[in-house]
Amino acid sequence: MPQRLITALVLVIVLLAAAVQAGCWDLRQAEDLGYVMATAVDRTPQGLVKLLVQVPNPRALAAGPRGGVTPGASISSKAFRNYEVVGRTIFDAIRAAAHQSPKRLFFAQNRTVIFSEDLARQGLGDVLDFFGRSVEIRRRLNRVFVAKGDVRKILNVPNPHGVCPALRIDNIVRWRGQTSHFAAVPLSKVLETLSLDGQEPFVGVIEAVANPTATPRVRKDLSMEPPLTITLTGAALFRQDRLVGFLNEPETRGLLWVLNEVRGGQLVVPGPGGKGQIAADIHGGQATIKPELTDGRIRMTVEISVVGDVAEAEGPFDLSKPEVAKEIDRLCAAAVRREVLAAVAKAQEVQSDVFGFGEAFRRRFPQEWKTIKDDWPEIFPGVEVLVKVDAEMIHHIGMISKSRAISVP
Amino acid sequence: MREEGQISAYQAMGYQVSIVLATAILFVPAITAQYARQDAWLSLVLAYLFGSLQVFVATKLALKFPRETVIQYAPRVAGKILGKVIGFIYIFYFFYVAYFVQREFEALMSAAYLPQTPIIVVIIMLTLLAAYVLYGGLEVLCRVNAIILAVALFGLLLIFLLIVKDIEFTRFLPFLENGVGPVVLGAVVPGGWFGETAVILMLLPFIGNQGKTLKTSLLAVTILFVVMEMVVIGAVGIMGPNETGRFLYPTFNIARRVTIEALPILERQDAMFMMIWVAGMLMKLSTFFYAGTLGLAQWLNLRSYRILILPAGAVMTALGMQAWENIVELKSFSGEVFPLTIIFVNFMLTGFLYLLTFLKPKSLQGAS
Amino acid sequence: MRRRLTKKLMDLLARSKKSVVQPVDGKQDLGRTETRVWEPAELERIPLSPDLQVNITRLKEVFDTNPDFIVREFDIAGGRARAALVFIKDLVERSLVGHNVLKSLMLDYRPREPNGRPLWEDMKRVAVTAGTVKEITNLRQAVEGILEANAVLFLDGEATGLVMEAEGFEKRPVGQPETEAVVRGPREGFVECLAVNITMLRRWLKSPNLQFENMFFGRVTRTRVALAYIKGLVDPGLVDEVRRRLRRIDIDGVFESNYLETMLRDSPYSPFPQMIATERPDKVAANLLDGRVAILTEGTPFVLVLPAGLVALMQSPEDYYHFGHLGSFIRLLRWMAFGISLLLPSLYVAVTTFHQEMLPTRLLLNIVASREGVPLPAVLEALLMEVAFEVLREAGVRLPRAIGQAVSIVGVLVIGDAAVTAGLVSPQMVIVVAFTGITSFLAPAFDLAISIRLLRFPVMLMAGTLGLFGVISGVLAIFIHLAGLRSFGVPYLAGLVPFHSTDWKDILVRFPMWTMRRRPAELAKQNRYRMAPNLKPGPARDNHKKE
Repeated sequence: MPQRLITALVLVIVLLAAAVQAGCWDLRQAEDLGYVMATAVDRTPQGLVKLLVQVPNPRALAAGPRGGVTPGASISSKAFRNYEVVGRTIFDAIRAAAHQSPKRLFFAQNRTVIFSEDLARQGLGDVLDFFGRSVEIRRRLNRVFVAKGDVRKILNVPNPHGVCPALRIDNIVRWRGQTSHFAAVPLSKVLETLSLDGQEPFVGVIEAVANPTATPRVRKDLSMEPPLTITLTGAALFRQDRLVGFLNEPETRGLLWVLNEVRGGQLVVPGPGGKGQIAADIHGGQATIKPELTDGRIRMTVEISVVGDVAEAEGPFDLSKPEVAKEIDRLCAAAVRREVLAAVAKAQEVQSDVFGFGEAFRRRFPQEWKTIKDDWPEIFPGVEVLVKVDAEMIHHIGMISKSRAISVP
Repeated sequence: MREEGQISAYQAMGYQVSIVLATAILFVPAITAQYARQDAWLSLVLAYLFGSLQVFVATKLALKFPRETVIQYAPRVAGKILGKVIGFIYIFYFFYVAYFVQREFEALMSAAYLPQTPIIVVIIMLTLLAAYVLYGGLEVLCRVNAIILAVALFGLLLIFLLIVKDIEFTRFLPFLENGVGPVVLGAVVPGGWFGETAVILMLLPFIGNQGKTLKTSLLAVTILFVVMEMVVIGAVGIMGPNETGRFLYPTFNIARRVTIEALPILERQDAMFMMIWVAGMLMKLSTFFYAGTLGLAQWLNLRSYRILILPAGAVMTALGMQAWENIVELKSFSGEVFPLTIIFVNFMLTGFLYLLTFLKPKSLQGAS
Repeated sequence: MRRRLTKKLMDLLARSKKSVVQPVDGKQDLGRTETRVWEPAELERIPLSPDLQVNITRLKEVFDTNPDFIVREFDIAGGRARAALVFIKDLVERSLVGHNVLKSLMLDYRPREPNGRPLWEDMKRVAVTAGTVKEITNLRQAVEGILEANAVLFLDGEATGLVMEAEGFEKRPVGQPETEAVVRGPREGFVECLAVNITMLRRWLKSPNLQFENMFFGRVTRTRVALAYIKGLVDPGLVDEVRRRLRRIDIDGVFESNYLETMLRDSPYSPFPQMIATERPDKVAANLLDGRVAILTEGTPFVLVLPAGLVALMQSPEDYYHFGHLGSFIRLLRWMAFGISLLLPSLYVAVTTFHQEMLPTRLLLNIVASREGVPLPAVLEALLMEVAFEVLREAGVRLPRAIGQAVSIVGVLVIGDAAVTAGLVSPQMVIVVAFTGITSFLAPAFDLAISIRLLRFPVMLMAGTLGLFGVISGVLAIFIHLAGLRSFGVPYLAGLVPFHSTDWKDILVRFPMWTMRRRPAELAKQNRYRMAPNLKPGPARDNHKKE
């Protein structure tokens, strides 16, 4: 028995020693990592990759009494730090950042990927490989954007609330259903559409615009309203991996209607009878694409059903009357249809099938697809698109049935 | 060979499910989708039929010798020398898959979770756990397996329910785009995997209610079929056949995609998937490891297999470490060579023995 | 009249003491070193002699110069015969000895001549008023009878002695069980005295089938141990197995039931308890009703109940004393606490040092902010804090109650807060460790809580080396161990695996009483049902209305 005991003891000691010796290969203390929250990629004129990563300062972000423990921390605590580095590839650039960053850059918390407009026009293919391959990157959680204007400026917008721009972008994305006026496309979706013949990728657009409520900085330590503000707007269309054009805000929603991505938004239409105007609150929509092939001509029928409520009725309407309600439905449906048709027109103009009409066609007519798939970008602009919208906008009408305009004649 | 306690037919079923499950859910979607693309689900149906046939033959053969394992009766059925050779092939097959499992395990672990950790550490850890199970014996193996299987199936179901909203059924169209050929090709790999349930050849003598064995064996294949369909439909329905075929571990990727916008805390919880998967892999390794050492002990006419556990584990690990250079070799091997090998053992060899029992009915006499 | 009698009796007693102090043969030199050691086997070979003096001399030799050993010689039946009463002074109840023996024999006993019965028989029938008596024939029985707080009566001319119950010494009164307090339910706990404990069980289970078997363990302590079970419910094989294992035990002393437990376990090295140790009579009674066996040990309030699996160890009697929903809720909470108490520090270490991606961004940044400047890696931080917590807990238990509380407060509040302020540990770690510590108090069996406390450390080390893979490996190792563990042949995880659907009514949640018709599947195999079917209560049905 003692012999067995000694054997067991020796085994335990050896194992423990091995564990301690070999030491925790993958162990990395939480505070030793720099959590990249936003990554922006650009290309230098020499063709090198220029990478801008944003790392928040946890001390400044974490609320609570610990923030001020280190002397001086509260004064100089900027909420984030941007590192700009250049490398031959993305990975090269990331490692080059180690010259500046005291912490190892860690990408699993990254939620925003921004490509500069120049780079996007040259083509994303090369740089996207890293984002597809990396174990740390969460493809589903990352939203891809194209920046209009200088990326550096966008990711450097100071924030009076001590929140870094990356988190701010993330929060704006979270509430995208308020308007559905901009695209926030997950990286996984971009990668998937890139691999398809019958669908082109699109991404959101990010911009720094002048802040009308900007106040001049009075004192250094006083928070101020910054001169610029971050805004997400519209969508960028790609052909293969190249940026070919932009959609404005209503057009973007037209695109999102077809893709079933509209989670909500506002719709302003003229009131029934041409008087006043109605603002509707969209709850959501459901779209189906029906490809048809007649005599070698391809036609796409998009059927959309929209549900929503009236949020505002400026004008003399009695919403409790069924015919008024019907008229509002019709007007809204027409508005949605306009949005979709505008998006289709723009996409056809730049030969970018972001709607996935080609994919819809392939599923319906696999054999025919094989013959045309290589020419699809040329065929797509000629495709006839029919849009049928069925809107039902009077679920609730708020707290009043008749607008004040007629209840107080 | 000492009596190893008794298990029930349902416990044997759990064993049969576990022997396939853990690696199959990880690799089958990619391999099948490469061939059959959006019809991968249909390939699985074919594979299911093929798998059922294999397990049917194996169970029929096993039931003819209710007191012995295939290693013990093969010499009587096929002649002394040929029988011993066949027995050795079975044993080698068990160990061979076992060290294949070790490497598959290591491949995902070091790719996704522990990139800096030496792979030998990860493998030894799992092998030691498996050895611990084996010291406990068949009863312990089946007991551990029952709970792990329940948790794993529940976990898979949970993941499936969380991602089911993202499945787009249009991705399964068009149906039979390239004809039947690719679908059949795609069925080979999962068919081979389903055939691993033929391990009943080693388990039958320990089953108490043998009358139910045929039913439970077919049920095991059915459970596997349902789970695999779930995984394949999830992977193809969310990522489309292209991406599914492109990824090394599509299942792992869909587990990563679990998001609930209302509960952001549930994002990026794929490490939970890893924990379930580790448990599943442990069972998979244990089942092969057990069948291998038990078979070897019987082949060598030893009284107990327990003295073989550590040496066999060490040899297995050594073989596993040098057999494949990298993940690329491992993947092409698992897609091309591996299924044929296991189909040879589980279907050809088992079928051959089954036919021989009709030719040599005398061999049955020793059995009862 | 009575008072006078009593006084006389007392005088007699007092005198008798004086008389017996006189040593035999004048051997009174206290400095003498030569001693004769008597082995029980040797004593057993010596039969009692019909000669009273021989018996007395032998006993005096055995007990040597022990000053509390008393031999009281007297005459009975008007001098017809000589008798002696032998006992140890402070073990017996003096009034019992006085009333039951001395008074009745010396004053009241008048043998009726004509009935022809021998004096010994007559005396036993008429004069000895003690309730429990036993006839003995050899010296060993006499010695043991005396040591077990009885008085032994010898009659000249008889080769038999009579052991009479006269036990009387100080006992702790029955109080509340210290380790297993309940909000609702009986407050009575076992005490150190076996007889009292047996009484309590008898009061709970008024069945002639409740069977006690007496045994003695310890060559020197001769601790009395009672094996209890209910005939017809318990599996006879189980009782045989317990007896067989008990019979093997041969040590010099048994001071607590754990002495037996360690000798009875299936897996001696397992950190998990394989028996329930409880001081609640209601719990023991309920377990006996499930078909389990109890081992009651003299000298400790902790009674062993076996076989016990994980499921039984997670059940508390209070689960059944409360409204079912609450019982279920507490049960769920307890299983959760079981997991938390084993894994929380390890998971915290694994997630913050290996899997940072698992945390929501805000929480992660929060942790990072507070860990900035903490000199130790999270693993060591966790280990140190856990050790510190264990130290505080142990200190709190050992110290007198009032000081113990002060120590805990000083330890937790002052040291914890100071450590955080000094930046030595992060506040999150303090929360984790404190919460883990608290969850470990939820285990209804403190033995189980101890196993969890012990296993927490290796799992933490694994977490620090291999992250979540280490944690899951540790959990799997524990789990494999549990799956192979047995308690008296019954699988430790019985109910879970081997799966018994009827047992599941009482595992994670507690089903309503009327649904739990069957006893646990691995126990009471021949008597499965504990209640009549269809006991579900409800409003009056039609057939009741008719009446």
